[in-house]
Amino acid sequence: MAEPLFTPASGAGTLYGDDNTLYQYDPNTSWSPVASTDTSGIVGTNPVPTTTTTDNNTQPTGDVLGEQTSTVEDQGPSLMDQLNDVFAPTMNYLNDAMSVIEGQQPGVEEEISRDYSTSKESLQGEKASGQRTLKEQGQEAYKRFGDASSAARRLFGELKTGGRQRFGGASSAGQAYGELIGAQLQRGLGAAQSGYNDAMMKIDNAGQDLQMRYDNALKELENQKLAALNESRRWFDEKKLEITRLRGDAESTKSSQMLDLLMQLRNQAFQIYQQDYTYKQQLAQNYQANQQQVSAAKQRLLQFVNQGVGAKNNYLANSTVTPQNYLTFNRSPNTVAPTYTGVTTKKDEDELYA
Amino acid sequence: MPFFDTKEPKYKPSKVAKAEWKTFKKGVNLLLRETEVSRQELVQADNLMLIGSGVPTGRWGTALYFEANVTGTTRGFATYKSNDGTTNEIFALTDEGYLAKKNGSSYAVISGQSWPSGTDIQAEQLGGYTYIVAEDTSFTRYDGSGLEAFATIAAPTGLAVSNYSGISGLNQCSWKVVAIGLNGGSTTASANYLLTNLPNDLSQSSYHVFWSAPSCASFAGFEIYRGDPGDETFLATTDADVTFFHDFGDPAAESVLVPLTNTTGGVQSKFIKKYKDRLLCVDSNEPNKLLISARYPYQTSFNWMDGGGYIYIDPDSGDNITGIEVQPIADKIVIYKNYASYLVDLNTTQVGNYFILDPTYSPISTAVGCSNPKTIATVENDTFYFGRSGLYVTGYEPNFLNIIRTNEISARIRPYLDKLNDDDYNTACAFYVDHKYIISFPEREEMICYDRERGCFMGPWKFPFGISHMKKYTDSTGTERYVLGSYNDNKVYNFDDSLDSDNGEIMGKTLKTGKDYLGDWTKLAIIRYFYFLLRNITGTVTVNLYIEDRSGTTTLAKTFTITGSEVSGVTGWGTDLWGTAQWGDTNNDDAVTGGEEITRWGSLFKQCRLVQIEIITNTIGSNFEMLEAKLEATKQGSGSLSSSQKA
Repeated sequence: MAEPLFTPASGAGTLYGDDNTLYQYDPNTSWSPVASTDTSGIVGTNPVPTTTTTDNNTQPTGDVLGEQTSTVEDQGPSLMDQLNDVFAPTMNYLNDAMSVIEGQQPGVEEEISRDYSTSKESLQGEKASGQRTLKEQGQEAYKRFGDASSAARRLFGELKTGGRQRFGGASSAGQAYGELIGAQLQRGLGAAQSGYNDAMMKIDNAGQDLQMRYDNALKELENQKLAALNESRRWFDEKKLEITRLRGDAESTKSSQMLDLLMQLRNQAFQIYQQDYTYKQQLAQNYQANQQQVSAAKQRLLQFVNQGVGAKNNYLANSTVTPQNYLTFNRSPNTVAPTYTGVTTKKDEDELYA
Repeated sequence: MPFFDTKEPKYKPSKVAKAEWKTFKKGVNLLLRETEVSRQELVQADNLMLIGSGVPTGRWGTALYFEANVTGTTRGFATYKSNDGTTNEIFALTDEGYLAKKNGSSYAVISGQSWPSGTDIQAEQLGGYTYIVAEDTSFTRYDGSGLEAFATIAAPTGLAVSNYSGISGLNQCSWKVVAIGLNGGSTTASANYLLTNLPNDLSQSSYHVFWSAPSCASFAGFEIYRGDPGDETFLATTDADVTFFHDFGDPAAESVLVPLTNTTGGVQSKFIKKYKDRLLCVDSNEPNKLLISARYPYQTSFNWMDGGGYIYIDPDSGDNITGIEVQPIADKIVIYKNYASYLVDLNTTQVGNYFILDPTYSPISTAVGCSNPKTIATVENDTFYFGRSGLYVTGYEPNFLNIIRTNEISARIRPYLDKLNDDDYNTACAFYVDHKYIISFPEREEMICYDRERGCFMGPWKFPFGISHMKKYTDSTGTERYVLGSYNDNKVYNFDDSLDSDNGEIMGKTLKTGKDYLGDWTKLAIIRYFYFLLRNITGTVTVNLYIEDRSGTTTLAKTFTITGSEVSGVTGWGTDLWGTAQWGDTNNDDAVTGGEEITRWGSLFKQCRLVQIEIITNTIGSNFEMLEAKLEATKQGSGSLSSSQKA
């Protein structure tokens, strides 16, 4: 037997026994017709019980679903089971699909992250390779600069020697030649320096470009990774949503079917309720008459009680517990009340050990 | 049977010995003994020169041309002539220290430069300026109005450098600035300015270099040097009015160092010579360094960058350069030392895009040279120079093109030269005028004339004063003036062919032929007749006929006097002393005649072994032209010499 949908409130009485949860009696609940049934909705306008609280009166309470559930439960274990059985494959399939999807997602994300890591390592390798190449280029350029400078100096030395051989030092031609080849050396060194500077600047720029492109590639890779992850998550989310939607559709279908069933049951129950209502009204009237009689009897009893209370109050008013003592010594009205010492007051144990 | 010639031999009278002097075109010959010279030579030719075919006559007289300054002696001449001829000046330096240009018979001082007492100058005109050099005074030029000295410029001051940017490092640099003179010379460097904490790459920052210009009239600009302290090298130049430079860290030169000496004063040189459109000088501080200027109009620059240059001639050989001359036609420069002469070629060598001057030299002679630049003169296509080995000529070897030879031409006066002392060699001066190379020995107050036309010497010419500088100058009337600077005072003279005196003083003339044997020195001769042919007699001319008689005694066998008035009446200029009477106004005797020949002859009939003719004048205004002379004699037989001489 399926679990009851509603469990009677604690202390609530039952009209038709504890087993019949459909007509659970709740003294705090009053009944009213539910709104009529809308074909598109579950709840119609048929009178449904509403709960009103009275001080001492407890009216029967309950809800339609409870009644219906009770009714379904009454007849339904087989219906619900059948219904559940009908939808169980679908739901199981969807649950399995959800499980598969949820099981696959971490793997996909891990794969994406792994791809990203692989690509990143590749990029780092490329970057390191590029930096190494650039460093080698710089070293080669520096070596070339050194070679060019050496060559320029060597040429200067050779020209100087040639000039010495050709002109000696006894004429301005030698001086002029020396200064010209000195200028040539300067130009040569300047050109070598300039070329080296240009090369190094380009290499430096290339290094910066490499770093920038590496950064960009890394960022792109990161973006791609995030995009892939997002895409994966979105796909999985879509799938989950789809499954959830399908499951919702199934649930909805199931609920709809269940509602139809419940409405059918409710209508049946309402007819029964209408039939019983009159009887219940009669019972209520009887009950009220009985209650009025009991109340009248209570009023009379109360009068007697009140008489007794009056007698007691009189007695209390006319009797005393503080008789006059005429044998006491007079004392000065201005006498100050003595201060007592040694008065002890109780302390909480917590304070004692505080 | 013996054969006897019974015919009486025919009488053959001895031949008449003749001695004829038709020309003296070989001039004076002092080298040979008086008996060795030919009849075309003279043994004495005081104050004589040759004209025509070799006719001796009195040299030109001298007259005061102008007085230069008030005191001192002449230290050099210079001339300036503008292209349009409106300015044509001659000026002289005296020990007073100022250039004085002729102004009538007086002078006008040219301001702008002065020279120490005792400093000789030389000058050349090129490019509208007359450049004047001295060994101890700045290069100076004259533009017709005033002197402009290439003054020594002080080094720039107040050099400071600031680093524009805050880029710093461990580098340090020193800057220096030098000023460039108008002649291309440079000052010494300013005090350096050291900046520390500079980046190793100086181009990472820029540096503001600024300084104060030196106080001087004009200069060309500045050069900035940069480098390690004490090792700064050339960096850049600025114009004269720019006293700052933005150094952007460009590399400085490798080998152009800061000049060590101040050369803004222009070259200081004893010599200056024009070689085409260049000037040639010799650095007085390096007396073997020939300085060659750039080409016109950069002739004041001796920098190789402008096209100038230098060459050391036989450097530090103990013999310094004593003169410069340009060998005509050969397009070569001849450099003289005391005992050597060299031919300098100015070639150019292309180095890259530059054509740098590449002077080379080759020796002409390593034995003879020139003692004094003032003795060097261009004589036609040759160069005459006088040195301790005599008077030499440098010129083309005949029939050989491009071969320069040097030959001595002073052999005939070598005994005269032997008497010269060091001062004579150092103070001698010469010029070439009227086809005569005339060299003066001011301390001896004499000149020797080399007659280029006849290839002979005449003289010596004797003066009452010494001549230390000579200059040929064509005045504004187109008249050539042979200007003479006194070695004794501030007077400037010039030769005047119309005068027979030296500034009013007697110019005595003596002509003496060689001693003539009349054919055979072993036989006596009886001079029968003598004949003299003269011309243009002025004043009083005395003719003496000396003989060495049989006893070996030289006696005046005949003397006679010829006067101008005796010949052709009273005309022309008188012979009054200068300053005592007006020319040609009184004492009309001894006047000059026309150009007619004057013949004198006579009989002598005196026995002699040698005969010598002497013609002298000892009065002002006396002169003659000795055309010809002839003696007729009868030679005596062998053994006619004196028995006292018999061995």
